[in-house]
Amino acid sequence: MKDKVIDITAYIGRDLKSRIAVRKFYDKISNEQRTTVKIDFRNVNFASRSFMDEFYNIFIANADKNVELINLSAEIEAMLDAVKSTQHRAKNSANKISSHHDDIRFSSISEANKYLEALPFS
Amino acid sequence: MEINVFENIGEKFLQGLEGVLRLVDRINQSEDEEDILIFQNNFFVTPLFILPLLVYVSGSKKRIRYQFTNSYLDMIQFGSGGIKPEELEFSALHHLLEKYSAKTYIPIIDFPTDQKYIRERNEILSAVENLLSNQIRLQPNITAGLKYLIEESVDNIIEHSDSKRGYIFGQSYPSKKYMDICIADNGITLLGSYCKMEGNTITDHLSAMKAANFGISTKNLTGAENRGYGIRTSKKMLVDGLSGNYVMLSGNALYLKSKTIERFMVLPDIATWQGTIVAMRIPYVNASFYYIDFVE
Repeated sequence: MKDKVIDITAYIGRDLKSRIAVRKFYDKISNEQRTTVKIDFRNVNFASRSFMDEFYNIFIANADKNVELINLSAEIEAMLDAVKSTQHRAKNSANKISSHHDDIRFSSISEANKYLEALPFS
Repeated sequence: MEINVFENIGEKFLQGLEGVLRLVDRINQSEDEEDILIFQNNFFVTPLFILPLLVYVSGSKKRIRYQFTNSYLDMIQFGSGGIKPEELEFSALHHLLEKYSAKTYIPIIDFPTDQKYIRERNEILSAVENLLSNQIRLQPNITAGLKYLIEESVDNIIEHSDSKRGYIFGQSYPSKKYMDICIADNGITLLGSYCKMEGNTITDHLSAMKAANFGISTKNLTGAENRGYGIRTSKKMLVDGLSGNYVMLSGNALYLKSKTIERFMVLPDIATWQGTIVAMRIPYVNASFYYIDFVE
């Protein structure tokens, strides 16, 4: 059976964004009775990191489907490399978050505003 | 109680938030069940005033109404809380946005987060990004960075906030070569999102703010995808890459980041937001900026 080439922009649009878009895309094409699929990124304008992270985990790390990505731009390749490299990195633990004596607490709005007005924050 | 709003927000990024805080103070001093905010004609406000005010009002137990004859507030759709893209035909929406092509601001966009509106949401956000870009003729490298910054914040709303709606509003300042973008939700706050996490140890808004900014995702899943990079890479891109400013407000925790300043703060309890607001001041002239350099 000839591999099907799927233009991803036909399903999602030229800007690839949001994790939920990946999940919906997967649902749509997983109904296809093929185990190998080529996903064409030729017409993609932009892809967010969140999108590519979800895409990596659902399509590339997924053993159920054999997916080949074609016509990736340099930016999309770089984004994919970035999300690949951060998979299974040691995670920051919430236990390390603690109160610090430098935390600033205001007892009134006027006190807060006085502080903010004096701050050289552009 | 009638509360006259005289704000005239200047150049300093935080002045918008200071203005909202003053209003919050006055609202809380009023013992009436209903307050009316009367906006005077000659005032100028910024995104960091408008969206925090909208979110505060939507989460307030008091009934708060607006009264204004100001044309700017009209144009940005402040009275209605913003344009709801799913209520308009695609062509009508684009025709409406066309009215802003010669302006330096976009209207408030009140977008749905429900997955059945993915297409409408993606279309309006792309339209907004293009509008912002075209209004001030952004270079392609900055447009790509702008898309990244907006999309990561919006995705956090969809994935974590449990909010039915999200908001985006932006204003450019061509003489200053920067734009202010504000993205907000009226959901469960960062703390609410962490509280849903199994084994959560975070119990207050400040700790939740720190966790979010230190890259601890509420959806770090063992053996699966690794999250928590959206906020971190966005800040790096904005602050290190573009010399911009980043503000996050959730519950009564406030976070500021610039090249020289990083602060975590706790506001008084009366200044507690039922939602999360991200505001960015984005300098938009930088020929050497390449957003991929900041994507870990």
